[in-house]
Amino acid sequence: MAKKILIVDDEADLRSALGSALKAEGYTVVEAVDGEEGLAMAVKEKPDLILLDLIMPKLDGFGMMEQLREDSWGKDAKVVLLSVLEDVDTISKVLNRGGYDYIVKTDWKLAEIVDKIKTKLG
Amino acid sequence: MDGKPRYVRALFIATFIFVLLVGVLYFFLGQPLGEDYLEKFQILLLSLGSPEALSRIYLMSVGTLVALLISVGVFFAATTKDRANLLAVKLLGDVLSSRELLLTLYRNSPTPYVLISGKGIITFPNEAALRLLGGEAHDLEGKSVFDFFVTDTEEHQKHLDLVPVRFDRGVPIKDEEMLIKRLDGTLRWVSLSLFPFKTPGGNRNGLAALVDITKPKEIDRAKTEFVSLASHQLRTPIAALQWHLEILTSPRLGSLNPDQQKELATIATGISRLNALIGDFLNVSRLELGTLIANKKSIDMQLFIDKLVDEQIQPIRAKELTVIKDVKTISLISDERLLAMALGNLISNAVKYTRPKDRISITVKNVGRSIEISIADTGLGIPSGEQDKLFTKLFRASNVREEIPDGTGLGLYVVKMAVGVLGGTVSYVSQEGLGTTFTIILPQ
Repeated sequence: MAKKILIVDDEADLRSALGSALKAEGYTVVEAVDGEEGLAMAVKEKPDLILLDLIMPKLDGFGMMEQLREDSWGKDAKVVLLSVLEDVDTISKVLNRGGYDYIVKTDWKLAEIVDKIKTKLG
Repeated sequence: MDGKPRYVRALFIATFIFVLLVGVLYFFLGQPLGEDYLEKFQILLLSLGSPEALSRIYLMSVGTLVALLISVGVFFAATTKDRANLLAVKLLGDVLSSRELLLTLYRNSPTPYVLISGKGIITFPNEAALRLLGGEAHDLEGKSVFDFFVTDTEEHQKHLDLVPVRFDRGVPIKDEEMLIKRLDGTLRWVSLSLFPFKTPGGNRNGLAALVDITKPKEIDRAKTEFVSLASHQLRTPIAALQWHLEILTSPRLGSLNPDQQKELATIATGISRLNALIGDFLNVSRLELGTLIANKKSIDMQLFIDKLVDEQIQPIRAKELTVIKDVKTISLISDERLLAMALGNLISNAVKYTRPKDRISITVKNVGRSIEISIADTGLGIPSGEQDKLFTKLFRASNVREEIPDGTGLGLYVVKMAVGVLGGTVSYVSQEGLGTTFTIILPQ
């Protein structure tokens, strides 16, 4: 069965780019526009990987991670953070809360992100 | 004033002498004053035409003049002491009023001033200083001005400890930023200027000016935070552009003809440059805000330099540059990010400003307890008149502004700041048209 990836980001253009590249690799893609929707989606769809943006309205990446880790399924979910912020404090804060990895969007090509995901999901 | 009655007395004496002298003069030179005055006077008038009479009139005039001079002389002699006293009193009055003026100016100056003893004890704070330090004169009694300076970093503490030493050595301090803790515990930023001087008695004292720069600093910080926020915001659309461009140029959506590929390549380069620019702004703002704290770990210099040169491989190949690396097997304990900022900028500059087919050399070696990193190019060099402005923000030398319009002027500013945070120094030698060598020295 195809692996499922949940993309949580408030920017439509970024969701579409990631979605397009991942679907081309055969993954099933579901999307959410903010942390609130993302949390609901994650628990419902139980994706194999969550690509999570940090800065979003309503509930941001930090908040969603915190709440996700309190869920029985969510506490083991694989989460890769995507952001434009690159300060060490933010990164370590995120990783300490259970983030799997941290990617700065402008530093990575789409193909490189896809490769990384392929490595994580096997 | 006790001079007055003396003046009047002297005036009387002078007048008396004058009258006396004239009387004596007239007695001896004039006709004897007998009984028949009128007759004598008539005879005198008749005899006025005679040479004898004329010579007498002449003698009388001269005599009167001399008498006048003598009287004036006596008057002045009699009043010398009083005039001297009056002058002294007036001068003293002038001095006292100007001292009063000076004290008034000092007390009410909008700039906080404190006079300090040789040990730094506050002896005379002005009103503004009392307001700044947050107390009355008696609250400051016995306190040293140096006790008010505080710091939150280890590096700054060392600098702070040197301030009383420099004062003790008679070294003036000009416009140095200090953090002070007021009596109520609140903090304020000041620009400190300290002027040591010796009193007539030979004791060292000092005049400290503490200009409150808290507000300008806050504004500067807000501005930098804005740059940081804006730069981050700008990255989101850039990421979207880059990824969609990547999809467009991938074979999946169909192949493109060479012209289309060329156009898209240009667009990709443009977006890449935009991204680099924003990266520069972010680096600058982080360095200025001090949010880039050195996270030191062991760095293999050979691998590090190789990586940095690799990042420039495209322009290096395009310009057919020779890159000579002389990197001893050295491990440097430092912060990777900051080091990459410093060396990365210098290497990319070297690549940018060197002519095609020319040479760049990078050397890393141990010098005593420090590491010395040199990046030498055989490029355009820096005009000698502009060398002292080189590390300032947004500066680009005149000789490159036209030839190589692509440059933010932030690169060397970032280098200087990054090296500063790492506790090192950066310097260079350059000759226009021949090349430049930048040298960074970092403590181990």
